[in-house]
Amino acid sequence: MNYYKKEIETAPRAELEELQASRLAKQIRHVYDNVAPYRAKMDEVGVKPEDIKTIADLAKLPFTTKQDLRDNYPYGMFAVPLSKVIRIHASSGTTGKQTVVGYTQADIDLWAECAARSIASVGGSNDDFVQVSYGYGLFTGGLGMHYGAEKLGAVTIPASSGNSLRQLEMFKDFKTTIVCMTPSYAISLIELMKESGISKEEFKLKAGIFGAEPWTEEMRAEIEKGLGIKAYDIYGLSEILGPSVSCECEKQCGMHVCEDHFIPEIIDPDTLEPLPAGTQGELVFTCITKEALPLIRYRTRDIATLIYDKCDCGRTLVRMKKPQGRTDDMLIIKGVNVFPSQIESALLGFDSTATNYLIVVDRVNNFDTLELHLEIPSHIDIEERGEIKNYKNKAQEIITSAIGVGIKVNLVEPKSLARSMGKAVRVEDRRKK
Amino acid sequence: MIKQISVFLENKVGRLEAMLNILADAEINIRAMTISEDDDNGTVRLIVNNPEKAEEVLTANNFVVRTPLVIGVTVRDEPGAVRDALKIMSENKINIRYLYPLVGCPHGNANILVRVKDTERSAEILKKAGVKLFTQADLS
Repeated sequence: MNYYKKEIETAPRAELEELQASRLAKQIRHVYDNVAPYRAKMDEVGVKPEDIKTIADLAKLPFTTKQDLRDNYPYGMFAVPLSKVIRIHASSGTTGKQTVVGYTQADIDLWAECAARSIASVGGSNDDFVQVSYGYGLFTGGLGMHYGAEKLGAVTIPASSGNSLRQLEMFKDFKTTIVCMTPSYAISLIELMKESGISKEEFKLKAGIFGAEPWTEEMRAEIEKGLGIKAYDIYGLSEILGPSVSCECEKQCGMHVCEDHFIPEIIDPDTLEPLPAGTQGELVFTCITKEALPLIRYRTRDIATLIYDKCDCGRTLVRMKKPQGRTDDMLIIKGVNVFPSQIESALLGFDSTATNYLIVVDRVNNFDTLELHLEIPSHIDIEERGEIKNYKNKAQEIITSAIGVGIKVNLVEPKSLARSMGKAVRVEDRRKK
Repeated sequence: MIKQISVFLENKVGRLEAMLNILADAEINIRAMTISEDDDNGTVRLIVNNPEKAEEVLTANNFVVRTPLVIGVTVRDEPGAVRDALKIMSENKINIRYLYPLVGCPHGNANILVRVKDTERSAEILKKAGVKLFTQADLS
Protein backbone atom coordinates (compact mmCIF):
# COMPACT_ATOMS: atom_id res chain seq x y z
CA MET A 1 0.00 0.00 0.00
CA ASN A 2 1.07 3.49 -0.79
CA TYR A 3 1.00 6.13 1.97
CA TYR A 4 2.14 9.71 2.12
CA LYS A 5 2.26 10.00 5.90
CA LYS A 6 1.95 6.47 7.22
CA GLU A 7 2.41 7.27 10.93
CA ILE A 8 -0.74 9.42 10.93
CA GLU A 9 -2.74 7.49 8.37
CA THR A 10 -2.36 4.21 10.24
CA ALA A 11 -2.14 5.56 13.81
CA PRO A 12 -4.03 3.63 16.51
CA ARG A 13 -7.42 5.25 17.17
CA ALA A 14 -6.61 6.19 20.77
CA GLU A 15 -3.45 7.99 19.73
CA LEU A 16 -5.28 9.85 16.99
CA GLU A 17 -8.05 10.92 19.34
CA GLU A 18 -5.53 12.20 21.84
CA LEU A 19 -3.97 14.33 19.13
CA GLN A 20 -7.39 15.54 18.01
CA ALA A 21 -8.42 16.49 21.54
CA SER A 22 -5.33 18.59 22.20
CA ARG A 23 -5.60 20.31 18.82
CA LEU A 24 -9.32 20.93 19.35
CA ALA A 25 -8.79 22.57 22.73
CA LYS A 26 -6.12 24.84 21.30
CA GLN A 27 -8.23 25.68 18.28
CA ILE A 28 -11.31 26.63 20.31
CA ARG A 29 -9.19 29.04 22.31
CA HIS A 30 -7.83 30.56 19.08
CA VAL A 31 -11.31 30.94 17.60
CA TYR A 32 -12.86 32.33 20.78
CA ASP A 33 -10.13 34.93 21.06
CA ASN A 34 -10.08 35.96 17.41
CA VAL A 35 -13.47 35.43 15.73
CA ALA A 36 -16.06 37.80 17.17
CA PRO A 37 -19.14 36.18 15.59
CA TYR A 38 -18.16 32.76 16.92
CA ARG A 39 -17.31 34.16 20.37
CA ALA A 40 -20.82 35.65 20.47
CA LYS A 41 -22.32 32.23 19.59
CA MET A 42 -20.34 30.51 22.36
CA ASP A 43 -21.26 33.18 24.88
CA GLU A 44 -24.89 32.79 23.93
CA VAL A 45 -24.89 29.11 24.92
CA GLY A 46 -22.54 29.72 27.82
CA VAL A 47 -19.57 27.64 26.64
CA LYS A 48 -16.03 28.77 27.47
CA PRO A 49 -12.87 27.56 25.73
CA GLU A 50 -11.76 25.81 28.94
CA ASP A 51 -14.90 23.62 28.79
CA ILE A 52 -13.54 21.90 25.67
CA LYS A 53 -11.03 19.22 26.61
CA THR A 54 -12.07 16.03 24.81
CA ILE A 55 -13.68 15.15 21.51
CA ALA A 56 -16.92 14.41 23.34
CA ASP A 57 -16.97 18.07 24.37
CA LEU A 58 -17.49 18.99 20.71
CA ALA A 59 -21.22 18.46 21.17
CA LYS A 60 -21.31 21.47 23.53
CA LEU A 61 -20.25 23.83 20.77
CA PRO A 62 -22.57 25.81 18.50
CA PHE A 63 -22.70 25.08 14.77
CA THR A 64 -21.44 27.25 11.94
CA THR A 65 -23.41 27.48 8.71
CA LYS A 66 -22.97 28.94 5.26
CA GLN A 67 -25.24 31.76 6.41
CA ASP A 68 -22.60 32.78 8.98
CA LEU A 69 -20.09 33.15 6.15
CA ARG A 70 -22.56 35.19 4.14
CA ASP A 71 -23.47 37.40 7.09
CA ASN A 72 -19.78 38.09 7.72
CA TYR A 73 -18.82 38.41 4.04
CA PRO A 74 -16.08 38.70 3.03
CA TYR A 75 -13.54 38.42 5.87
CA GLY A 76 -15.56 38.60 9.11
CA MET A 77 -15.01 34.94 10.10
CA PHE A 78 -11.22 35.04 9.61
CA ALA A 79 -9.25 34.23 12.75
CA VAL A 80 -5.98 35.91 11.77
CA PRO A 81 -5.08 39.43 10.65
CA LEU A 82 -5.29 39.81 6.87
CA SER A 83 -1.53 40.38 6.80
CA LYS A 84 -1.16 36.65 7.57
CA VAL A 85 -3.54 35.59 4.83
CA ILE A 86 -1.75 34.67 1.61
CA ARG A 87 -4.60 33.30 -0.51
CA ILE A 88 -8.33 33.48 -0.86
CA HIS A 89 -10.76 31.28 -2.76
CA ALA A 90 -14.48 31.65 -3.24
CA SER A 91 -17.27 29.13 -3.43
CA SER A 92 -19.06 28.68 -6.71
CA GLY A 93 -22.15 30.33 -5.25
CA THR A 94 -24.43 27.65 -6.72
CA THR A 95 -26.74 27.80 -3.73
CA GLY A 96 -26.78 31.55 -3.13
CA LYS A 97 -24.36 34.41 -2.67
CA GLN A 98 -20.74 33.37 -2.96
CA THR A 99 -18.61 32.97 0.14
CA VAL A 100 -14.94 33.76 0.57
CA VAL A 101 -12.40 31.58 2.34
CA GLY A 102 -8.81 32.41 3.32
CA TYR A 103 -5.54 30.57 3.95
CA THR A 104 -2.31 31.34 5.78
CA GLN A 105 0.98 29.84 4.60
CA ALA A 106 0.52 27.03 7.13
CA ASP A 107 -3.00 26.41 5.80
CA ILE A 108 -1.73 26.16 2.24
CA ASP A 109 0.96 23.75 3.42
CA LEU A 110 -1.47 21.49 5.24
CA TRP A 111 -3.83 21.55 2.27
CA ALA A 112 -1.00 20.52 -0.04
CA GLU A 113 -0.20 17.69 2.34
CA CYS A 114 -3.80 16.48 2.44
CA ALA A 115 -3.96 16.61 -1.36
CA ALA A 116 -0.62 14.76 -1.62
CA ARG A 117 -2.04 12.09 0.70
CA SER A 118 -5.08 11.79 -1.55
CA ILE A 119 -2.98 11.25 -4.65
CA ALA A 120 -0.74 8.79 -2.80
CA SER A 121 -3.75 6.89 -1.48
CA VAL A 122 -4.84 6.07 -5.03
CA GLY A 123 -1.34 4.78 -5.77
CA GLY A 124 0.36 7.99 -6.91
CA SER A 125 4.02 8.85 -6.33
CA ASN A 126 6.75 11.12 -7.66
CA ASP A 127 6.93 8.83 -10.69
CA ASP A 128 3.46 9.92 -11.80
CA PHE A 129 2.23 12.55 -14.24
CA VAL A 130 -0.76 14.24 -12.64
CA GLN A 131 -3.02 16.23 -14.96
CA VAL A 132 -5.15 18.66 -12.99
CA SER A 133 -8.24 19.34 -15.09
CA TYR A 134 -10.29 21.08 -12.46
CA GLY A 135 -10.79 24.76 -13.11
CA TYR A 136 -7.98 26.99 -11.81
CA GLY A 137 -9.09 30.18 -10.15
CA LEU A 138 -11.36 31.06 -7.27
CA PHE A 139 -12.65 27.47 -7.33
CA THR A 140 -10.49 25.37 -5.01
CA GLY A 141 -10.34 22.31 -7.26
CA GLY A 142 -7.51 23.29 -9.60
CA LEU A 143 -5.00 24.90 -7.26
CA GLY A 144 -5.83 22.47 -4.45
CA MET A 145 -4.86 19.37 -6.41
CA HIS A 146 -2.02 21.25 -8.12
CA TYR A 147 -0.20 21.94 -4.84
CA GLY A 148 -0.83 18.37 -3.73
CA ALA A 149 0.66 16.91 -6.89
CA GLU A 150 3.72 19.15 -6.56
CA LYS A 151 4.14 18.31 -2.89
CA LEU A 152 4.12 14.62 -3.81
CA GLY A 153 6.82 15.36 -6.36
CA ALA A 154 4.77 14.20 -9.33
CA VAL A 155 5.05 15.87 -12.72
CA THR A 156 2.19 18.32 -12.36
CA ILE A 157 0.25 19.28 -15.50
CA PRO A 158 -1.89 22.37 -14.83
CA ALA A 159 -4.39 21.69 -17.62
CA SER A 160 -7.37 23.41 -15.96
CA SER A 161 -10.78 22.58 -17.39
CA GLY A 162 -12.08 23.20 -20.89
CA ASN A 163 -10.65 22.81 -24.39
CA SER A 164 -11.58 19.15 -24.37
CA LEU A 165 -9.67 17.97 -27.42
CA ARG A 166 -6.53 19.53 -25.98
CA GLN A 167 -7.16 17.62 -22.73
CA LEU A 168 -7.06 14.36 -24.70
CA GLU A 169 -3.90 15.46 -26.52
CA MET A 170 -2.27 16.17 -23.17
CA PHE A 171 -3.19 12.67 -21.95
CA LYS A 172 -1.38 11.33 -24.98
CA ASP A 173 1.58 13.71 -25.37
CA PHE A 174 2.42 14.33 -21.70
CA LYS A 175 1.90 10.66 -20.75
CA THR A 176 -0.56 11.54 -18.01
CA THR A 177 -0.99 8.69 -15.51
CA ILE A 178 -3.39 10.27 -13.02
CA VAL A 179 -6.10 12.76 -13.84
CA CYS A 180 -8.12 14.99 -11.49
CA MET A 181 -11.43 16.39 -12.75
CA THR A 182 -15.16 16.40 -12.16
CA PRO A 183 -16.84 13.08 -13.00
CA SER A 184 -19.23 14.78 -15.43
CA TYR A 185 -16.29 16.25 -17.33
CA ALA A 186 -14.76 12.78 -17.55
CA ILE A 187 -17.99 11.48 -19.05
CA SER A 188 -18.01 14.26 -21.63
CA LEU A 189 -14.37 13.52 -22.55
CA ILE A 190 -15.25 9.85 -23.05
CA GLU A 191 -18.05 10.95 -25.36
CA LEU A 192 -15.59 13.12 -27.27
CA MET A 193 -13.15 10.21 -27.58
CA LYS A 194 -15.87 8.13 -29.24
CA GLU A 195 -16.75 10.95 -31.63
CA SER A 196 -13.18 11.70 -32.64
CA GLY A 197 -12.04 8.08 -32.78
CA ILE A 198 -9.49 8.40 -29.98
CA SER A 199 -8.89 5.14 -28.15
CA LYS A 200 -8.01 4.77 -24.47
CA GLU A 201 -5.13 2.52 -25.56
CA GLU A 202 -3.37 5.68 -26.76
CA PHE A 203 -3.14 6.85 -23.12
CA LYS A 204 -1.01 5.80 -20.15
CA LEU A 205 -3.74 6.71 -17.66
CA LYS A 206 -4.04 4.42 -14.63
CA ALA A 207 -6.14 6.34 -12.13
CA GLY A 208 -8.44 9.30 -11.84
CA ILE A 209 -9.52 11.35 -8.84
CA PHE A 210 -13.01 12.69 -9.29
CA GLY A 211 -14.95 15.08 -7.12
CA ALA A 212 -16.63 18.46 -6.64
CA GLU A 213 -20.05 16.98 -7.39
CA PRO A 214 -22.02 13.89 -6.41
CA TRP A 215 -21.67 10.89 -8.70
CA THR A 216 -22.84 7.33 -8.70
CA GLU A 217 -21.34 3.84 -8.85
CA GLU A 218 -22.79 3.54 -12.36
CA MET A 219 -20.84 6.62 -13.44
CA ARG A 220 -17.73 5.15 -11.83
CA ALA A 221 -18.10 2.00 -13.92
CA GLU A 222 -18.64 4.11 -17.04
CA ILE A 223 -15.51 6.21 -16.39
CA GLU A 224 -13.35 3.20 -15.50
CA LYS A 225 -14.36 1.46 -18.70
CA GLY A 226 -14.18 4.55 -20.91
CA LEU A 227 -10.73 5.70 -19.80
CA GLY A 228 -9.32 2.31 -18.82
CA ILE A 229 -8.52 3.45 -15.27
CA LYS A 230 -9.50 3.01 -11.65
CA ALA A 231 -11.75 5.90 -10.66
CA TYR A 232 -11.56 7.28 -7.12
CA ASP A 233 -13.83 9.60 -5.23
CA ILE A 234 -12.49 12.68 -3.48
CA TYR A 235 -14.37 15.04 -1.20
CA GLY A 236 -13.89 18.56 -0.07
CA LEU A 237 -15.49 21.92 0.29
CA SER A 238 -13.91 25.33 0.22
CA GLU A 239 -15.27 26.32 3.64
CA ILE A 240 -13.31 23.49 5.25
CA LEU A 241 -10.33 23.28 2.89
CA GLY A 242 -11.07 22.39 -0.73
CA PRO A 243 -10.56 18.97 -2.35
CA SER A 244 -8.90 16.26 -0.20
CA VAL A 245 -10.73 16.70 3.10
CA SER A 246 -11.23 13.01 2.37
CA CYS A 247 -10.32 10.69 -0.47
CA GLU A 248 -10.72 7.04 -1.34
CA CYS A 249 -7.85 4.58 -1.10
CA GLU A 250 -7.10 1.77 -3.55
CA LYS A 251 -9.82 -0.35 -1.90
CA GLN A 252 -12.53 2.04 -3.15
CA CYS A 253 -14.69 1.54 -0.07
CA GLY A 254 -15.22 5.02 1.32
CA MET A 255 -13.15 8.18 1.61
CA HIS A 256 -10.59 8.43 4.43
CA VAL A 257 -10.94 11.74 6.25
CA CYS A 258 -7.74 13.63 7.16
CA GLU A 259 -8.79 13.34 10.79
CA ASP A 260 -5.65 14.87 12.18
CA HIS A 261 -6.91 18.13 10.64
CA PHE A 262 -10.68 17.77 10.56
CA ILE A 263 -13.04 16.07 12.98
CA PRO A 264 -16.16 14.76 11.26
CA GLU A 265 -19.52 14.24 12.92
CA ILE A 266 -22.89 13.06 11.64
CA ILE A 267 -25.93 14.88 12.97
CA ASP A 268 -29.66 14.71 12.48
CA PRO A 269 -30.33 17.80 10.32
CA ASP A 270 -33.67 18.39 12.05
CA THR A 271 -32.86 17.85 15.75
CA LEU A 272 -29.13 18.75 15.33
CA GLU A 273 -28.28 15.85 17.68
CA PRO A 274 -25.14 13.83 16.91
CA LEU A 275 -25.98 10.40 15.46
CA PRO A 276 -24.20 7.11 16.25
CA ALA A 277 -21.46 5.81 13.95
CA GLY A 278 -22.80 4.14 10.82
CA THR A 279 -25.99 6.20 10.72
CA GLN A 280 -26.76 8.39 7.73
CA GLY A 281 -27.12 12.07 8.45
CA GLU A 282 -25.72 15.52 7.82
CA LEU A 283 -21.96 15.73 7.78
CA VAL A 284 -20.35 18.30 10.07
CA PHE A 285 -16.65 19.22 10.22
CA THR A 286 -14.48 20.98 12.76
CA CYS A 287 -11.13 22.32 11.58
CA ILE A 288 -8.55 21.67 14.29
CA THR A 289 -5.38 22.89 12.63
CA LYS A 290 -6.36 25.59 10.16
CA GLU A 291 -5.43 29.15 11.08
CA ALA A 292 -7.19 31.63 8.79
CA LEU A 293 -10.68 30.16 8.63
CA PRO A 294 -11.00 27.50 11.32
CA LEU A 295 -14.69 26.71 11.12
CA ILE A 296 -16.14 24.89 14.09
CA ARG A 297 -18.90 22.30 13.62
CA TYR A 298 -19.54 23.53 10.11
CA ARG A 299 -22.74 22.06 8.66
CA THR A 300 -21.84 20.85 5.17
CA ARG A 301 -25.46 20.05 4.12
CA ASP A 302 -24.05 16.84 2.66
CA ILE A 303 -25.78 13.61 3.65
CA ALA A 304 -23.22 10.90 4.43
CA THR A 305 -22.26 8.03 6.73
CA LEU A 306 -19.05 7.49 8.75
CA ILE A 307 -17.41 4.06 9.02
CA TYR A 308 -14.86 3.56 11.80
CA ASP A 309 -13.85 -0.05 10.99
CA LYS A 310 -10.24 -0.48 9.98
CA CYS A 311 -9.85 -0.47 6.22
CA ASP A 312 -8.11 -3.26 4.29
CA CYS A 313 -5.61 -0.65 3.09
CA GLY A 314 -4.27 -0.40 6.65
CA ARG A 315 -5.50 3.13 7.27
CA THR A 316 -7.24 3.76 10.56
CA LEU A 317 -8.63 7.12 9.44
CA VAL A 318 -12.43 7.09 9.41
CA ARG A 319 -14.10 6.50 6.06
CA MET A 320 -16.95 8.62 4.72
CA LYS A 321 -19.51 6.85 2.62
CA LYS A 322 -20.28 8.85 -0.48
CA PRO A 323 -22.56 11.77 0.15
CA GLN A 324 -26.04 10.71 -0.88
CA GLY A 325 -26.81 14.25 -1.94
CA ARG A 326 -27.01 17.60 -0.25
CA THR A 327 -29.78 18.78 1.97
CA ASP A 328 -29.62 21.84 -0.32
CA ASP A 329 -30.09 19.70 -3.44
CA MET A 330 -32.98 17.76 -2.03
CA LEU A 331 -36.14 18.35 -4.02
CA ILE A 332 -39.53 18.11 -2.40
CA ILE A 333 -41.91 16.84 -5.08
CA LYS A 334 -45.53 16.48 -4.03
CA GLY A 335 -44.27 16.23 -0.46
CA VAL A 336 -41.77 13.46 -1.23
CA ASN A 337 -38.05 14.05 -0.62
CA VAL A 338 -36.08 13.28 -3.76
CA PHE A 339 -32.32 13.52 -4.26
CA PRO A 340 -31.17 14.03 -7.84
CA SER A 341 -28.52 11.35 -7.17
CA GLN A 342 -31.30 8.77 -6.68
CA ILE A 343 -32.70 9.62 -10.09
CA GLU A 344 -29.29 9.38 -11.69
CA SER A 345 -28.51 6.09 -10.02
CA ALA A 346 -31.79 4.52 -11.17
CA LEU A 347 -31.35 5.87 -14.69
CA LEU A 348 -27.77 4.65 -15.10
CA GLY A 349 -28.71 1.30 -13.57
CA PHE A 350 -31.30 0.96 -16.31
CA ASP A 351 -29.05 2.24 -19.11
CA SER A 352 -25.41 3.04 -18.45
CA THR A 353 -25.20 5.03 -21.68
CA ALA A 354 -27.89 7.49 -20.54
CA THR A 355 -25.42 10.07 -19.27
CA ASN A 356 -26.73 13.39 -20.57
CA TYR A 357 -29.85 14.45 -18.79
CA LEU A 358 -31.54 17.33 -17.02
CA ILE A 359 -34.07 17.02 -14.23
CA VAL A 360 -36.81 19.64 -14.59
CA VAL A 361 -39.17 20.44 -11.76
CA ASP A 362 -42.12 22.73 -12.33
CA ARG A 363 -45.51 23.56 -10.91
CA VAL A 364 -48.50 23.36 -13.22
CA ASN A 365 -51.95 24.22 -11.85
CA ASN A 366 -50.56 23.98 -8.31
CA PHE A 367 -49.22 20.48 -8.90
CA ASP A 368 -45.53 19.70 -8.87
CA THR A 369 -44.29 18.09 -12.05
CA LEU A 370 -41.07 16.14 -12.38
CA GLU A 371 -39.49 15.51 -15.76
CA LEU A 372 -36.28 13.97 -16.92
CA HIS A 373 -34.99 15.34 -20.20
CA LEU A 374 -32.71 12.72 -21.62
CA GLU A 375 -30.64 12.94 -24.77
CA ILE A 376 -31.70 9.92 -26.78
CA PRO A 377 -29.00 7.24 -26.42
CA SER A 378 -27.46 6.20 -29.73
CA HIS A 379 -28.40 2.53 -29.34
CA ILE A 380 -32.10 3.31 -29.81
CA ASP A 381 -33.34 2.77 -33.35
CA ILE A 382 -35.34 5.94 -33.94
CA GLU A 383 -37.05 4.32 -36.93
CA GLU A 384 -38.73 1.94 -34.47
CA ARG A 385 -41.36 4.06 -32.74
CA GLY A 386 -42.25 1.12 -30.51
CA GLU A 387 -38.68 0.86 -29.27
CA ILE A 388 -38.64 4.57 -28.36
CA LYS A 389 -41.90 4.24 -26.48
CA ASN A 390 -40.83 1.09 -24.61
CA TYR A 391 -37.57 2.71 -23.59
CA LYS A 392 -39.37 5.76 -22.21
CA ASN A 393 -41.94 3.72 -20.35
CA LYS A 394 -39.36 1.43 -18.84
CA ALA A 395 -37.15 4.35 -17.73
CA GLN A 396 -40.17 6.08 -16.20
CA GLU A 397 -41.20 2.94 -14.37
CA ILE A 398 -37.75 2.23 -12.93
CA ILE A 399 -37.07 5.78 -11.77
CA THR A 400 -40.56 6.20 -10.37
CA SER A 401 -40.23 3.08 -8.28
CA ALA A 402 -36.76 4.17 -7.07
CA ILE A 403 -37.85 7.62 -5.87
CA GLY A 404 -41.46 7.01 -4.93
CA VAL A 405 -42.88 9.81 -7.02
CA GLY A 406 -43.96 9.88 -10.65
CA ILE A 407 -41.49 11.12 -13.25
CA LYS A 408 -42.04 11.77 -16.93
CA VAL A 409 -39.16 11.00 -19.27
CA ASN A 410 -38.80 13.16 -22.36
CA LEU A 411 -36.32 12.10 -24.99
CA VAL A 412 -34.49 15.05 -26.50
CA GLU A 413 -32.08 15.41 -29.41
CA PRO A 414 -28.37 14.67 -28.96
CA LYS A 415 -26.23 17.67 -27.92
CA SER A 416 -29.33 19.68 -27.05
CA LEU A 417 -28.45 19.85 -23.34
CA ALA A 418 -25.58 22.05 -22.17
CA ARG A 419 -22.25 20.26 -21.57
CA SER A 420 -20.32 20.89 -18.37
CA MET A 421 -16.64 21.55 -17.97
CA GLY A 422 -16.89 21.92 -14.22
CA LYS A 423 -19.81 21.09 -12.00
CA ALA A 424 -22.68 19.74 -14.05
CA VAL A 425 -26.02 21.48 -13.76
CA ARG A 426 -28.44 18.59 -13.61
CA VAL A 427 -31.49 20.17 -12.04
CA GLU A 428 -33.68 23.02 -13.15
CA ASP A 429 -36.30 23.95 -10.56
CA ARG A 430 -38.68 26.31 -12.31
CA ARG A 431 -40.91 26.60 -9.23
CA LYS A 432 -38.52 29.11 -7.69
CA LYS A 433 -39.26 31.80 -10.24
CA MET B 1 -35.84 0.33 -53.65
CA ILE B 2 -35.48 3.75 -52.14
CA LYS B 3 -33.41 5.03 -49.25
CA GLN B 4 -35.65 6.79 -46.75
CA ILE B 5 -34.26 9.40 -44.37
CA SER B 6 -35.67 8.95 -40.85
CA VAL B 7 -34.85 11.72 -38.39
CA PHE B 8 -35.49 11.92 -34.65
CA LEU B 9 -36.89 15.30 -33.61
CA GLU B 10 -38.15 16.80 -30.41
CA ASN B 11 -41.83 17.58 -30.65
CA LYS B 12 -41.48 21.31 -30.12
CA VAL B 13 -41.82 24.52 -32.05
CA GLY B 14 -39.03 25.16 -34.54
CA ARG B 15 -37.32 21.76 -34.64
CA LEU B 16 -38.83 20.71 -37.96
CA GLU B 17 -37.88 24.06 -39.43
CA ALA B 18 -34.32 23.70 -38.12
CA MET B 19 -34.03 20.38 -39.91
CA LEU B 20 -35.58 21.72 -43.12
CA ASN B 21 -33.16 24.67 -43.06
CA ILE B 22 -30.24 22.27 -43.19
CA LEU B 23 -31.75 20.36 -46.11
CA ALA B 24 -32.59 23.58 -47.96
CA ASP B 25 -29.08 24.95 -47.47
CA ALA B 26 -27.71 21.72 -48.93
CA GLU B 27 -30.07 22.14 -51.90
CA ILE B 28 -31.90 18.92 -51.21
CA ASN B 29 -35.33 18.53 -52.71
CA ILE B 30 -38.01 16.73 -50.72
CA ARG B 31 -40.22 14.27 -52.62
CA ALA B 32 -42.28 12.95 -49.72
CA MET B 33 -42.55 13.56 -45.99
CA THR B 34 -44.48 12.08 -43.10
CA ILE B 35 -44.24 12.36 -39.31
CA SER B 36 -45.02 9.83 -36.63
CA GLU B 37 -45.15 11.54 -33.27
CA ASP B 38 -45.51 11.10 -29.53
CA ASP B 39 -46.10 13.88 -27.00
CA ASP B 40 -42.41 14.75 -26.64
CA ASN B 41 -40.69 13.43 -29.75
CA GLY B 42 -41.29 12.24 -33.26
CA THR B 43 -39.67 10.52 -36.21
CA VAL B 44 -39.79 12.38 -39.50
CA ARG B 45 -39.56 10.24 -42.63
CA LEU B 46 -38.41 11.81 -45.84
CA ILE B 47 -37.82 10.83 -49.42
CA VAL B 48 -35.35 13.17 -51.10
CA ASN B 49 -33.51 13.54 -54.37
CA ASN B 50 -30.12 12.91 -52.75
CA PRO B 51 -30.39 10.71 -49.63
CA GLU B 52 -26.59 10.31 -49.18
CA LYS B 53 -26.07 14.04 -48.97
CA ALA B 54 -29.14 14.50 -46.73
CA GLU B 55 -27.81 11.89 -44.31
CA GLU B 56 -24.40 13.53 -44.30
CA VAL B 57 -25.54 17.10 -43.59
CA LEU B 58 -28.09 16.06 -40.97
CA THR B 59 -25.62 13.85 -39.13
CA ALA B 60 -23.03 16.62 -39.22
CA ASN B 61 -25.57 18.83 -37.46
CA ASN B 62 -26.09 16.30 -34.63
CA PHE B 63 -29.42 14.89 -35.83
CA VAL B 64 -30.01 11.19 -35.27
CA VAL B 65 -30.59 9.70 -38.72
CA ARG B 66 -31.48 6.21 -39.91
CA THR B 67 -31.84 5.19 -43.55
CA PRO B 68 -34.10 2.17 -44.02
CA LEU B 69 -35.08 1.04 -47.52
CA VAL B 70 -38.66 1.42 -48.65
CA ILE B 71 -40.48 0.20 -51.74
CA GLY B 72 -41.79 2.70 -54.28
CA VAL B 73 -44.99 1.44 -55.88
CA THR B 74 -46.58 3.08 -58.91
CA VAL B 75 -50.28 2.45 -59.50
CA ARG B 76 -52.87 3.80 -61.90
CA ASP B 77 -54.71 6.92 -60.72
CA GLU B 78 -58.09 5.17 -60.48
CA PRO B 79 -60.36 3.49 -57.90
CA GLY B 80 -59.11 0.14 -56.59
CA ALA B 81 -55.55 0.50 -57.87
CA VAL B 82 -53.84 0.72 -54.48
CA ARG B 83 -56.01 -2.13 -53.21
CA ASP B 84 -54.90 -4.32 -56.13
CA ALA B 85 -51.23 -3.70 -55.43
CA LEU B 86 -51.52 -4.31 -51.70
CA LYS B 87 -53.66 -7.39 -52.15
CA ILE B 88 -50.62 -9.15 -53.54
CA MET B 89 -48.77 -8.31 -50.34
CA SER B 90 -51.45 -9.66 -48.03
CA GLU B 91 -51.72 -12.82 -50.12
CA ASN B 92 -48.00 -13.28 -49.50
CA LYS B 93 -48.37 -12.54 -45.77
CA ILE B 94 -46.34 -9.34 -45.98
CA ASN B 95 -47.27 -6.90 -43.23
CA ILE B 96 -47.14 -3.21 -44.10
CA ARG B 97 -45.65 -1.14 -41.33
CA TYR B 98 -46.61 2.17 -42.85
CA LEU B 99 -47.05 3.85 -46.18
CA TYR B 100 -47.34 7.38 -47.49
CA PRO B 101 -47.72 9.01 -50.89
CA LEU B 102 -45.15 10.76 -53.03
CA VAL B 103 -45.77 14.42 -53.73
CA GLY B 104 -47.45 14.88 -57.12
CA CYS B 105 -48.81 12.30 -59.57
CA PRO B 106 -46.55 12.41 -62.65
CA HIS B 107 -47.70 10.66 -65.85
CA GLY B 108 -51.22 10.23 -64.49
CA ASN B 109 -50.03 7.65 -61.98
CA ALA B 110 -50.18 7.59 -58.18
CA ASN B 111 -46.98 6.77 -56.32
CA ILE B 112 -46.77 5.37 -52.81
CA LEU B 113 -43.91 4.44 -50.55
CA VAL B 114 -44.29 1.28 -48.54
CA ARG B 115 -42.22 0.18 -45.55
CA VAL B 116 -42.25 -3.52 -44.79
CA LYS B 117 -40.06 -5.78 -42.70
CA ASP B 118 -38.56 -7.90 -45.45
CA THR B 119 -38.02 -5.23 -48.08
CA GLU B 120 -36.03 -7.16 -50.65
CA ARG B 121 -38.24 -10.23 -50.73
CA SER B 122 -41.38 -8.08 -50.87
CA ALA B 123 -40.04 -6.05 -53.78
CA GLU B 124 -39.31 -9.29 -55.65
CA ILE B 125 -42.82 -10.60 -55.06
CA LEU B 126 -44.40 -7.35 -56.26
CA LYS B 127 -42.20 -7.24 -59.33
CA LYS B 128 -43.05 -10.84 -60.23
CA ALA B 129 -46.74 -10.07 -59.87
CA GLY B 130 -46.32 -7.28 -62.42
CA VAL B 131 -46.59 -4.34 -60.04
CA LYS B 132 -44.66 -1.34 -61.32
CA LEU B 133 -41.96 -0.14 -58.90
CA PHE B 134 -40.03 3.11 -59.07
CA THR B 135 -36.48 3.62 -57.83
CA GLN B 136 -34.18 6.31 -56.48
CA ALA B 137 -33.15 7.12 -60.07
CA ASP B 138 -36.72 8.23 -60.79
CA LEU B 139 -36.46 10.79 -57.99
CA SER B 140 -33.08 12.39 -58.63
